[in-house]
Amino acid sequence: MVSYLIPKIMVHFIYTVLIISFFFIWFICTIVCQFKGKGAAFVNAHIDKLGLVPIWTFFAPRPGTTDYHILYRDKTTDENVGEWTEISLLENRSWADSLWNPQKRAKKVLSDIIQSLVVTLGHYPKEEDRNHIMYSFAYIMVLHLVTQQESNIQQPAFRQFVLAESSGYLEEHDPGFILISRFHELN
Amino acid sequence: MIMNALIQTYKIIYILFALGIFISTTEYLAKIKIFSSKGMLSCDLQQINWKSREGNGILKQLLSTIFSEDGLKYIFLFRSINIVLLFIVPLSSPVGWVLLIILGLSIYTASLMTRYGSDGSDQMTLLIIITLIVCLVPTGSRLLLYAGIWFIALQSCLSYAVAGISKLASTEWRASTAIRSIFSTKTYGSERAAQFLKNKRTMNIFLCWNVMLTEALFPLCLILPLPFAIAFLVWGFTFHLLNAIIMGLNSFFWAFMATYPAILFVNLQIHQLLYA
Repeated sequence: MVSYLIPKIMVHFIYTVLIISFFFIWFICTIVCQFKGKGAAFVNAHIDKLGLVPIWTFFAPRPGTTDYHILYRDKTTDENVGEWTEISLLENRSWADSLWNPQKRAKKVLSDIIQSLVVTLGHYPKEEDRNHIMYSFAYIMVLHLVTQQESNIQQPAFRQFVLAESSGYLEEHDPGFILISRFHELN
Repeated sequence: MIMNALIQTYKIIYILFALGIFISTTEYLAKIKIFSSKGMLSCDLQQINWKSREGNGILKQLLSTIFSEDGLKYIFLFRSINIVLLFIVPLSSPVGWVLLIILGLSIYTASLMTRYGSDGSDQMTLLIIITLIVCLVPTGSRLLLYAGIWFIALQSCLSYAVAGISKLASTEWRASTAIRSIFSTKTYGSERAAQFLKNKRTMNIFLCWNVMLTEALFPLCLILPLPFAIAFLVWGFTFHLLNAIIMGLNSFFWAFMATYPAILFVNLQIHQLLYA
């Protein structure tokens, strides 16, 4: 009986110590990762393999104060260019959305992708280097979204898109371009 | 007595957490097309990020099946049933624990596909479910139950403090223009709220500094006397409710409300230790 209980108590003890240590390390890593420094880079590269460490800086230090827009247009092989069409992702919300808001996911995905593109663009200040952005995952995601849209011209062969931003309801700033893509061939 | 209080606290945490995750799951089900081959979070596209994409063919096929539109639809449907079952089955029973593990796996699996599009509420959800799994192990100890509650409470307070401090470091927040500008966007705002805040300097100063200071000081609710701690929690409740109504951030409300029973428990425990 005793020989059975001792290992069981030991297992409980070891498990409890392990879990408390796990919580402690997780909490310390969370604090470290709130500062974008070498510590955060180390945690992300060597400790947080499962992506469990949260970042708690909601709407700070730079709050999202613009709406993003994606527009596209098509071109035929004989250089006829169609009108710009906006991909509609921004809808006015109703009171019911405070309870159930499925459209927020698509908006957040788009917002995250474009913010990622803006950060990547910052790495290429020279205009001639901007083509490198086409190899970024965020660019490929936008291109994928754009190429799934219906065309508004007959026999489109190429598609170009524009990322733009506006300041929303109060229109405190003029809308601006973030990125104008080259014409991509449509398969 | 104390064991009962601990279990009850976990139960309330689970109820609030489950309501949020159930709403979030049905939202994903309604927008399941974003995971289709033509969608923004298509599996074909996400594979670009998988490190071993040249690797094992069977594993690749399995992952492609799981992360397809149909695969994720079944995961979300199964998750909804799992959440409901956990309202019936006791959390600390062996069956309840297995259901918690399955729920945790479904949340983590889906999170791999939503690298873009996830937010702080998803992070808190993941944190809570992992805590529930490791602490509600059927043969677990009382110390483990305490540790889980303390961990949830500390992470919740840390989240508010970090959010508050980083806002205090922000020019837009200190200039008291941040809330008006956020409310002005169609992504997170509301025309009515934006128009209400237009040209109301004092109101903007009050709102921005109220959010910054209360968030930064939020961890005090762990040690302040109960009425003051409750005042912080009432502020948090109102803050998240308004965010859900004005900004559409409904999932934050449930994820963060689920941490409040833990905060309250830790506050009461600290005062019991101090004045016992």
